Amino acid sequence: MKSGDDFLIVKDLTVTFVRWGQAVNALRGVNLNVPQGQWLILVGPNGSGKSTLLKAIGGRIQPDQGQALLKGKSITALSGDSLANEVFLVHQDPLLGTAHTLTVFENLFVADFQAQSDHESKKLLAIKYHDLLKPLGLSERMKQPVKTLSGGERQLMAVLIARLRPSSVILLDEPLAALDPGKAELSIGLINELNGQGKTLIQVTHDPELAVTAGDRTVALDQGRLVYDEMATARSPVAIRAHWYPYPIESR
Amino acid sequence: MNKKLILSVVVLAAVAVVIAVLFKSPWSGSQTKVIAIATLMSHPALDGVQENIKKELEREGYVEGKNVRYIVKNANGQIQLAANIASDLAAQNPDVIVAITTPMAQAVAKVARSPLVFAAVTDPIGAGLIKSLDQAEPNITGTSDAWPYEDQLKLIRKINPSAKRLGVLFNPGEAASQYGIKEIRKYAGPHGFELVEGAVNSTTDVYPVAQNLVRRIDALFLSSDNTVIGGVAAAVKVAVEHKIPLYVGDSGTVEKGGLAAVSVGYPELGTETGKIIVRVLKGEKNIPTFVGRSSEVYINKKAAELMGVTIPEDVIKGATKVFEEIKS
Amino acid sequence: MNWLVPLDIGLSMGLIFAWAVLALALAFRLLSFPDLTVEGSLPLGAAVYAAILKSDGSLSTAVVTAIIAGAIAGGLTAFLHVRFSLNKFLAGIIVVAITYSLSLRIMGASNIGLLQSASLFDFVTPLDRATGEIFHAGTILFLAVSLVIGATLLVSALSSRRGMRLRVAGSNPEYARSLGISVPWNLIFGLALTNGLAAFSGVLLAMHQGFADVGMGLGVLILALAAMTIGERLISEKKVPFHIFVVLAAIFGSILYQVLVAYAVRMGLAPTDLKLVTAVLVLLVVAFRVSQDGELFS
Repeated sequence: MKSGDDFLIVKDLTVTFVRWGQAVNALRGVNLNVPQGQWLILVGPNGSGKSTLLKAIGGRIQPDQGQALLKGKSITALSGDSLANEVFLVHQDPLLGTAHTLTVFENLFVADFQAQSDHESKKLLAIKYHDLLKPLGLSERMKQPVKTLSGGERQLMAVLIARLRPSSVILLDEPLAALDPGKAELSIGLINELNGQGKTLIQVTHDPELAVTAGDRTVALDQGRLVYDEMATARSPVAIRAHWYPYPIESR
Repeated sequence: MNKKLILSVVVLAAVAVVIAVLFKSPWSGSQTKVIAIATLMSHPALDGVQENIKKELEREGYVEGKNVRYIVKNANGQIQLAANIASDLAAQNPDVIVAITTPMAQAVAKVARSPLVFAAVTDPIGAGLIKSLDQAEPNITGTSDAWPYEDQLKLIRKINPSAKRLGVLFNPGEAASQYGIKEIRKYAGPHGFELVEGAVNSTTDVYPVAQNLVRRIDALFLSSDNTVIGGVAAAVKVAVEHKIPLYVGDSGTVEKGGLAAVSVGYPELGTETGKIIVRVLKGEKNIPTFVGRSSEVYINKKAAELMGVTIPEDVIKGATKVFEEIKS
Repeated sequence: MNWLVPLDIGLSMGLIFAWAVLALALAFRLLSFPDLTVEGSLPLGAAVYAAILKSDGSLSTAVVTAIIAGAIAGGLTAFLHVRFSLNKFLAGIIVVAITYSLSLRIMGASNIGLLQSASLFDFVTPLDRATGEIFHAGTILFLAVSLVIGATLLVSALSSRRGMRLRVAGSNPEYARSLGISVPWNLIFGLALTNGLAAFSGVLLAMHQGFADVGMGLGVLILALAAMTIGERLISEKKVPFHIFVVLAAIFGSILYQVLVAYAVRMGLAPTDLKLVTAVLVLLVVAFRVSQDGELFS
């Protein structure tokens, strides 16, 4: 990779925090280079540091050592507004992805970067959102407060909102975890669309299938360290599974 | 908006009926005078005023149940209810409204067309009720309990010739005290006293604040303050424990353990208020405000004993009333 | 006819306190901030208003300054929470203590009488006189109209894009962060706004009752909570957008609550009993709500 291609670089990232009196090394000197437009799948056992890595790239956590750089600029140095326009984080918890007292329409409106003025656009926006919500089966719920939606529906909305954001980097923390198979499929469709739009995606997943079939590249974390990194074509399902379950498993 | 609302209203109506039955007021004939009495709160001095108002009216021939009907409202310390009560009384159009305490008097003055007689309002001019003591308002009059502060200080000097530092407890949030403390400050220096002020925000503060002051002072003084008077028992306790004389401002509080007071005599104030009410009922207007200036001395012997204070004979002889025991 | 008097009193007081109830309800429901400051910003507004009038300031100066004072108090509470991570309740309590002392200082006394002073109600006194003394049509009309105007402005502000961002900040701070919405600034702005409303309530109350007293705020919090609770059971949450629901609930709750209080006063209920009856009523109203989410604190 030519150095001129540097887009999202994670350099020597180290994050330690204290949990229940114990020092936890969540990330130990992680190095990662993600070119623009890549769809990266991130796997690893529980506690391996996946969410921490996402949060660090998403600017939610300050690294103790090392840094995350976007287009050469340190992510921690970016202000709230500019960061929000560059990086968008879809949380694992479906309740965190939308504002529960606002309606479906309002949630989309607030996130929609292109909706500048308040007035005439609202009618056109309603049509636009209706078309976006239709495939998800939520178009009739536009005027309803989001708290009447189920967790799965809210999670779907969170991914849809990612679509409306101007951010070039979308971080998805187990976006399918809270979804039933039907909704999971819709979500995968949305994520595919995001990829099609040229967004850089980092998706954490627990699904072994996905780890092997989705995305352009799969990396695995284990105890805060990067232990596996292969492009899609070179991926080995067995190797990936091994990084998931560090203990030997019986063959199925 | 449906079943729940109806149900709640039905329950409310039931509650209302029950309460109305419990609080039924006697039927009044057309010759009956309706006298409304509204107070912000109760405490011994104020209650004494109310009692004596009724006594004086009875003496003049206005007897409850016969030709007088009383409507009594007490806001129990909640100032927000003052406007409510005032409006409610105003709408009932009594022959006279008696308002006790400054905020209640102000609230009534704002809305009532009935004549207002305020009672025991320390600074009626400052409160905006009247313009001056000499000039009377057509429909507003009453009695003021502006204290004889100077006489009080003189009495302290007499009983405790060597006392220098005087601790004063008062609630800065009360109109009467704001006025009172200024007066005390004015007269303290010329009489050789150094004031140590203790601010009290609620009755429960009396004990800790008194404790705090007691070691730094030669004598303790409770100002004419509804809040402070409510905590007199605590102040007595502190005074007795540390053998410090406790001076207070009215006879009721002396009865409860204050060593001595130079007071306007709240019962007398009540009587004077009653007299004014009678004049108002008879149709008189433009009655000037009566300021209680009587300097009556009240002593409590038991308190003196407990606090280790010897009261000069001539003071005891000249006292209006000497209490032998402390009433609890 | 006499039995309608409490209705008149209740309406006036309900409309006056509605601004304070709005202050609490908006902070509580839309900003997820249990704001105790209301207990201090209401009397502060009254104190500033009275003090300015007493020193011969103009009516408009007095009213506007009072509102600004309340706004500053609210902003301070939010600031203490945001900057020093003070617990929300604690921040409010501290500011209430501050405003108490401030009010005393500003008035130079604990109480200022306003009987001779001008007031906004002067404009409608002729109408009051005309409708006879049982029903103060002028006062109620003035209060109702100003409340409607205020509420309409509030609702349209909350429905705007800026308003939405404010609501997102209050509803889900994490999500707000994702969108680049500054939660600290929105909290400060939000509480400043609501406490300006509370201060206006204090101004109206001082005008109406004829005095400003430093003890005016005592019990406002319980009053507002009771009113808010009653109002939220009255209005059907499903039929209107949430922020409109909160506004309507606050207004109607305040009116109903004050009407109940007025009738209780008329019937001779001692204020101590009054509090008990209020509590019982609120409990009854709450108990009859059959719903999936019976939570008061969401």
